[in-house]
Amino acid sequence: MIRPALILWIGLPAIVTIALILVSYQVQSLENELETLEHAAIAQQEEIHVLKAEWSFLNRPERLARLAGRHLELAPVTPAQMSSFTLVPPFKGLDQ
Amino acid sequence: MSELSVRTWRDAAGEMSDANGVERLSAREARRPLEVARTRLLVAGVIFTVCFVILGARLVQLSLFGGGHYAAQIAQHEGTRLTLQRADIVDRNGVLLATNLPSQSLYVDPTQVLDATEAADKITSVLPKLTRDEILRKASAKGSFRWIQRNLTPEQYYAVNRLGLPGFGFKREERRVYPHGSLFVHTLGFAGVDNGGLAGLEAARDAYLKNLAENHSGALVTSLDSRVQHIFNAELAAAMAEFDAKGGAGIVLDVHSGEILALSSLPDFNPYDLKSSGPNQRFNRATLGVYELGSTFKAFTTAMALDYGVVNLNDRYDATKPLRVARFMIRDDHPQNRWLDVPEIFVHSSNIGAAQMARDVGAERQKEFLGRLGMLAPLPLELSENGSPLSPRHWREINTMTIGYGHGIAVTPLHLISGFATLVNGGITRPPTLLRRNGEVSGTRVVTRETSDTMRLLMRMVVEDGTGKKAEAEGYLVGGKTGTAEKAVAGGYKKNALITTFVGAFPMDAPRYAVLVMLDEPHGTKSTHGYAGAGWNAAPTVGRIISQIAPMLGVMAIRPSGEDEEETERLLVRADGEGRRIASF
Repeated sequence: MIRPALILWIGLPAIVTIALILVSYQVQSLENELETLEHAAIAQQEEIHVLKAEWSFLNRPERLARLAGRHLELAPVTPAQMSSFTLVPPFKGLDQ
Repeated sequence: MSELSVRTWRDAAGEMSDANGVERLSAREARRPLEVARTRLLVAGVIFTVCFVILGARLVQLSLFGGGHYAAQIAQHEGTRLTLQRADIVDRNGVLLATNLPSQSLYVDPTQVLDATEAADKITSVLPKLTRDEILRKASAKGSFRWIQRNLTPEQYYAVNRLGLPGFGFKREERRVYPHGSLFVHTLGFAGVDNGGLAGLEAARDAYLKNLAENHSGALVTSLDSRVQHIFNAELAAAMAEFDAKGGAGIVLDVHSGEILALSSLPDFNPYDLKSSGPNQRFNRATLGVYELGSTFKAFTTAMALDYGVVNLNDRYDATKPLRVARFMIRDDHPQNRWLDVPEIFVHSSNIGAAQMARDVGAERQKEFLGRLGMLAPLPLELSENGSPLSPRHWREINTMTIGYGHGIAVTPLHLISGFATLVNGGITRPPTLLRRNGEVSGTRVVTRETSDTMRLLMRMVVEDGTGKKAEAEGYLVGGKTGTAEKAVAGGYKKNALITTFVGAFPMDAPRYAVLVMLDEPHGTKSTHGYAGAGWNAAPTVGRIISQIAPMLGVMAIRPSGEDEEETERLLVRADGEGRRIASF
């Protein structure tokens, strides 16, 4: 006769073992996913880094001046065009 | 099971005594071993129970209550981050000035090469800069590693990779990239192919940059401003071309913090192509070169004489004829042939007057004053290219007098502008720096506020109606001093080889930035009527630069409108009893 206690003591380790295997597979797949994501993240960071360098390269003042001269009808700011908020007369309201 | 063994044991004990024929054991004695066994069993059971309870409790703790530092470890996991070998360098506004970019380098493992000749032919077809013989030599060399070409461009990498040559491989490396090219080459310097800093800030802050990159602690923030630097380089190059000068140097300095916003030395060089640059291009004229900067030193002489109370603004000196001292003759470049008061000496740049003023102050006090101003020692700048001033070993009276108008002492342009910043900022000297400073910087007082105020007025006067008229940038109240000096060569001075300097600050009512332009051997042109003095070349360059950078730096222009007249009147200072104005803002 198989006593219920025996079933319990055999069954419990079996369940635990199966659960452990499942969890460990799950962990492994998550770790793989993490690694992939981290690789992708590094690649993205590298790409951003390169793009930042390119942004700085394309924004060289010398190049901007050249492009502005070719495509825009703007002249350098003269002192007369500069002002500050403190010099703006205060707003007195619409009813006045 | 325990019951069973106890019974067996009891039987055995009974048999044993029977067999020996000895008296039968009493019931109590027969029970004793049984009791011992029971006790032992109990102890063992308790120990096991305690162990399992501990394990169980730990299991519950780990699974239900987070598990202490493991949980913290999981929470802290930030993922991997891109680690480069050197940190970025940025300007004061965060514009990238230097960075490391990943690149591929081609190497060969000669033991794996099948056909060296074929490989050499194929590689020269895609990398035409390499010679066939060189690749052949490397591909058949002994050992298992030779570089073919470091840091390929992506196109080159693709082309070589497509050849599919056995024995040739790529190694991922990093390459230092300067997006602005040669614009900052004299301040940033450059790093070598193995990412070690070799010049400039890259060399001086080499370990710091590597450390920053390792700890992911951001970029090195410099005090430079790429917009100001661009304008400066462009204007300086234009001035050099116009006046056919050999070289030029320039600095923009924040007078209150000592931060350097722009530092140029032309000609410069390409940080990617070091081979084609000579010592002339590599030489940093702004921080390493020491020059006798001539009349600009009269500002120091005047400030010194005023600060020691040796003269006041109304004192006069005899400038009617050249001054003979020992076997030397001191002459004026712009002779007035009359008695000049202190402002006139400064404005007309009279050597005779400045020499006498310096003599009246005396050698000891002059040496002490210039020392406090930092003119006698190298500056603590964050560059390896840091020039040491040259000053006379024996400071005699004649030295005192010539130093009074800027001869017999050689300093770097950075020394000069740093001294001028001290004179106009209220009299406090702060070491110039290439790194961004946060908050107030403590400095040491060199001259009183009153002396500093007077110097501002005198410098404004030089631009208003003196030798520096062409430095005027409308609305920005430029003030400064010109200096034209003959170049010192072995055994004397070279005629017609000049160093012209204009150093000034703006706006003169509350100075914020000092600007210096120095030209090396400029020549006269038609538009300057053949003159090559600082007032004709360095001064207008400064004026052009200021009118462009001032709006960028947020300096408000003063508009010459009726409203401002009252303000302007208040700033006027009367110099002498004749009602002549020495400054008219």
